Amino acid sequence: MTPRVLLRVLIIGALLWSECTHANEQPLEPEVLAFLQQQQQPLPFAVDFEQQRTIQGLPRALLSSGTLTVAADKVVWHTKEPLDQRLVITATGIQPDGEAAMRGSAVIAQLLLAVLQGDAEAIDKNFSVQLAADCLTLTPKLEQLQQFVQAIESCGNSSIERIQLIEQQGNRSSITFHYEAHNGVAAH
Amino acid sequence: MWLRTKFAAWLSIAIVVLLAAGLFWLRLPAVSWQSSLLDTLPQEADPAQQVYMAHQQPNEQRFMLLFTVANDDFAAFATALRQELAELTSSEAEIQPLQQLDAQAIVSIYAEYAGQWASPSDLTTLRENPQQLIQYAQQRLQQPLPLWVDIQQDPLLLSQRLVEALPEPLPNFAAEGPLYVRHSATHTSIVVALQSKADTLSQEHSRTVVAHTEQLLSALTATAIPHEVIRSGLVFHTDAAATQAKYEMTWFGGLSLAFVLILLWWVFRSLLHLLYSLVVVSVSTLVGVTAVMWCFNSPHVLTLVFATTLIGLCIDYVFHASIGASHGKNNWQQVVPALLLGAATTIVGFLLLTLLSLPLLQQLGVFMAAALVSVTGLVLLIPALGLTKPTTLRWQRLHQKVARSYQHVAPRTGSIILVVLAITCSIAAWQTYRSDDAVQLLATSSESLLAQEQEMREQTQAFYDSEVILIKATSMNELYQRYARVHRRLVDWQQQGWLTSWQSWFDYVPTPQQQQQVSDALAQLWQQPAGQDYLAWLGIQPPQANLSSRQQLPKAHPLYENFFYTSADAKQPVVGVIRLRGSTTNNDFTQAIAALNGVELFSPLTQASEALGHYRSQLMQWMMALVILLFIVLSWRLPYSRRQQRYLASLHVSAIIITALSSALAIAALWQPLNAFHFVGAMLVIVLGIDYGIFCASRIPRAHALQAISISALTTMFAFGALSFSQTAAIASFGVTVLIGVAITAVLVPLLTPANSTHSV
Repeated sequence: MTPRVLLRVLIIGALLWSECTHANEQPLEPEVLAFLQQQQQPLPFAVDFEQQRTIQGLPRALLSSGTLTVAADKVVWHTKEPLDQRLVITATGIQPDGEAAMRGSAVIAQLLLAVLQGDAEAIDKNFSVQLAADCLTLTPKLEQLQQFVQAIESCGNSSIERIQLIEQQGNRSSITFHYEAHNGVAAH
Repeated sequence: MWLRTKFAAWLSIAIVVLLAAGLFWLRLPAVSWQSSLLDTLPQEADPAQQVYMAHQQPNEQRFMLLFTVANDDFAAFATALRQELAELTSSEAEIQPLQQLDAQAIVSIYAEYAGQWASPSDLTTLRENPQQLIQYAQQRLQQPLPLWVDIQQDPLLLSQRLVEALPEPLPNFAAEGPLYVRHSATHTSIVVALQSKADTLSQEHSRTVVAHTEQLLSALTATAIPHEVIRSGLVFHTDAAATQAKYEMTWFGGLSLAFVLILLWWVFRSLLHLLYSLVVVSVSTLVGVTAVMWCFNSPHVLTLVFATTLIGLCIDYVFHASIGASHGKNNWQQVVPALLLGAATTIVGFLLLTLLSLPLLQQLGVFMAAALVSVTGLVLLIPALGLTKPTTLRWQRLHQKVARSYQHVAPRTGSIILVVLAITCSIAAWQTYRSDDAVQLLATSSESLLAQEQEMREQTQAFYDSEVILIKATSMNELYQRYARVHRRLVDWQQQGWLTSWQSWFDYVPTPQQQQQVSDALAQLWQQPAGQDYLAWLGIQPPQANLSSRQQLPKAHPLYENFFYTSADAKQPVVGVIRLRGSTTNNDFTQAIAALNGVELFSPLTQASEALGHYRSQLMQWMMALVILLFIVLSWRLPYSRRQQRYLASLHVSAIIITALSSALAIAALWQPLNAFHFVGAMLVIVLGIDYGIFCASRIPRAHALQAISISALTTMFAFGALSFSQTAAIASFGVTVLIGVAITAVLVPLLTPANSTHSV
């Protein structure tokens, strides 16, 4: 083997290795990235929401509504009806107003932040992603989360219009967002 | 007469070897060798303690690393650490992150008991202010968080709340995959808990595990991210001890072996003597092991460790016999009775060990007795084998001079010296006697490792005291009731300051009494308007109480096997454990526990220390019995013509042994309190003293006897005396006792009057 052939083999090998490494990482497809960019709102922003929670064993869905404030480092989940309740979601966990973070809530908090903030990098790291029509289906990669969450669906073209949290137990939370009331108003 | 031919002699040796080897292979499949330290405990050890100890999985190695990095470096360091951990776990050392509790298993057991289990604080709220729990449940239902309980069974979500309130495995550390992380204002602490399947007691396995771990640490150092690391775990201590022992073996062992070989060559100038010594040691070891295997179904490997140490004295018989044979037929005839008497006394002495209640000493007694029987037979073949080459002239002349110099001491003076020395040294030993059997004193870990261990304990609070509360009963139901009774007392004991905290089964699962109270309070709530309104809001009926599952023990709980132990033997008690932190060895605490039926405060370390103390005391009793036996046998069998001479000579031999033992132990006690290992060394001193005494009190010319005694004493002192410098306290204890004891015996035995002396004793 001449040095030139050897060099060629080495270059091709290095390129193949590089391809393989990238293939293993499976970055988000351009369509998914574009979809996330379309959904993403300038931070911070606030939005009203309605939650319809279907729980196995209950004859009817539980309804609640309130306001969601999404910032770069946290999300404030303020439910106004039927019970007034304020949750602060940060990377370290979910914290009810005036209380310590809920035990073991850090992982789910980080995922909710990723979805609500449209953080493509975090979504890529934590979920397997499937795009169908105007909905993105996110399946958790983390085994400890897979035990509780089957998938998260994020729907809406120009913004997140509806999020659906599908639990392994068969429970389902459908959260619909209404941007009208806060249109053009940045949250503080 | 036929044995006098070399061929017949070698043939008889071959027959003995074949016979022993045949018996060895015949028995081998039926024998199960024990390696657990549990099997060395006194036979009357508490069955409940045995059940507990049997479940402590000594071969499962757990170890931890604690890293501290600046907050800004945390992300990069955690990524590097995760990568290195992935490589470590794929290595052949079978190192794996310590499995965190399987969340699925936890959830499924608490889901099964949904609506029946509640935390103690929720139980109080349920009884005093149930509206608060209703409000919490309503809030929880509108949070965007998964629910896993059956809401029809547990409308208040009590089980989910209980799981969220369970004690954390590493307090204040958050589990993040294989890492446990704790952030402070400036720094982040990361704990990595690992386990390996390597055998804790195997030096080779420990070395492999530590080497792979050190590779991980080197790779992290190479990242140039500033960090500090603390190591914790038995594996690091085992490896450090093994490295130290290897160093000592190389230097002390190598030097002493070189000295012994040079000495033997200088004295005998014969390769055949060296070869035959090797044959005798090998054959006697084979015979000893075979005898142990036939007498005990489950011999202990530690028996072999001690036996291979003591077997060295068999070579002394080769020295005595070959030097005796080298001085002609008449001299040989004087040597044989002394050999037989020495061997018989020592054999009976070792057989006395079988009367003690300690399995290790019983097995050692059988091993040594059988080995010495074979040695006696083998050394009697020495003239027939032609091992009659005399020692070098220089060696002979040296001992003639020594013998003559001792002749200047009048027999009466010698007698007085021996008796006075025995009395004086005994009093000195009595006065200076101090013993400490604490196993911790035998630890050989470096200061650095111990400091890291302490630091890890302070930082993580992941460790409990060695002391635990053991609860035993004849059935699981009885045990469960007793366990609950003890659990209820823990808060009182904490308030008394007898313990800081604990880990109890009922920290994870409500007691039967609490379950009943939860059931009663819920039944009451569903009758009240507040409860009925809540159920109506949900649109469900009041849940049905599940009485059958309440009466069952939740054996499927992932932590069940961490708290309850049963034995395959149905006659053994069932045992439960409560682990303690910051417990005090307070009399009041011990009494409070002892007042509870079937409950005790138990520490494996204390038990091991007590076992060592038991060994020490049994060995002391054995030595006293052996000295009395020696006096009786020698008074009967020493070759003096008059009975009074025999009594006096026996007294002198006993006095020499007592002097050697007392002074060796008294001097050794100046370094460190006496322990069982000093007395194992004393065993060697006493059996060598018996041989030296019998040979000096025989009709063998004194100079001839001294030649063999000198070789024996010098080789023993060098081989074992070198161990005095060992960093391992147990080995050093053994070495220093043998060094001093044998030296004193060798110096004093020439004061004995030989049986063929014309002088009066």
